[in-house]
Amino acid sequence: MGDRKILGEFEQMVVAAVLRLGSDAYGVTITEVIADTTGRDVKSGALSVTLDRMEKKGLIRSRLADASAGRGGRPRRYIELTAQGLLAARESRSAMLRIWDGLDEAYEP
Amino acid sequence: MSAPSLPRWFVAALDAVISDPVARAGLVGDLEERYGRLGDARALRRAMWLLAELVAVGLHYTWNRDAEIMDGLKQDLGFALRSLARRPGFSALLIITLALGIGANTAIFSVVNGLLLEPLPFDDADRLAVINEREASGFTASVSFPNYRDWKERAKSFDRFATILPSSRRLSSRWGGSWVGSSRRCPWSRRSAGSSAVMKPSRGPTRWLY
Repeated sequence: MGDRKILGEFEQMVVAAVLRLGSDAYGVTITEVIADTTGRDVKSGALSVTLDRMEKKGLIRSRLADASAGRGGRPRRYIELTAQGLLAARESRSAMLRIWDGLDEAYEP
Repeated sequence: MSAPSLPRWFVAALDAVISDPVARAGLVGDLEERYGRLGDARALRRAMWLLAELVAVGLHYTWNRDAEIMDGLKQDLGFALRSLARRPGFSALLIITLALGIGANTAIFSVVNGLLLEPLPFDDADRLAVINEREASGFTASVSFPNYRDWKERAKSFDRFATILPSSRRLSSRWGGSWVGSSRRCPWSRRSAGSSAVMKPSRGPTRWLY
């Protein structure tokens, strides 16, 4: 367990957004979910380079589909988690829950 | 009214920055879709949006490719800057120390570089030798001209002999002046170095050879 890497903050947001979106996870919808749930304005370039990095690490896989007029005839890059990505997400969430466990009184007003 | 589409220059800039075709197609499509949702927003807002997205793409795709390393570097840099800001007195001392250290090292290296590392501005500089006379007291003295003339005529260990008279001159202009090294009457160097100047400085304002 000591060797397992916890996903970075933004990577965790992306993974959670992809899990929420299911088969409709692509750049625009992922940025919307992150903005709605965290209030963070995510630039598409930042998301894209993070997706590239996560794909290289084997956490996600992507495919191009659905070229449409609303996107200037360009396709969507759909994202799905790999088994390795799912495992990393689970580990990261567990680690975060463990480290915050029992501290409710410490930060409650 | 149809949704606005990304300007061509913007798409061309993205094409230039992003090499991976899948990432490029997906990102340009995403940006096209989001730009279209700005609808009839004012031109200034659209321009600001484009600028922000372009900066983000440029930053992330040029400086942040290896993001794990860069994230660590950015965190370290941010921590260092915040620490410096919290202790301005210590920071000032640190900066002054660094400035003095770097300045002193640069000055010393300039001297070492000029005297020891840089070759002399003459052909076959490694074959040059300076000959002096040593007095009975042990002090080094300049060569007398009669001795020079005798050595020049009879010595077989040297190809050529020449004399130099080290001195310095002050060069002045309307912007100020500085002392420069010079010497006079050095026919050997005139031939060997191919220069009409006996001690033509090739680098920097001051150069001594004697």
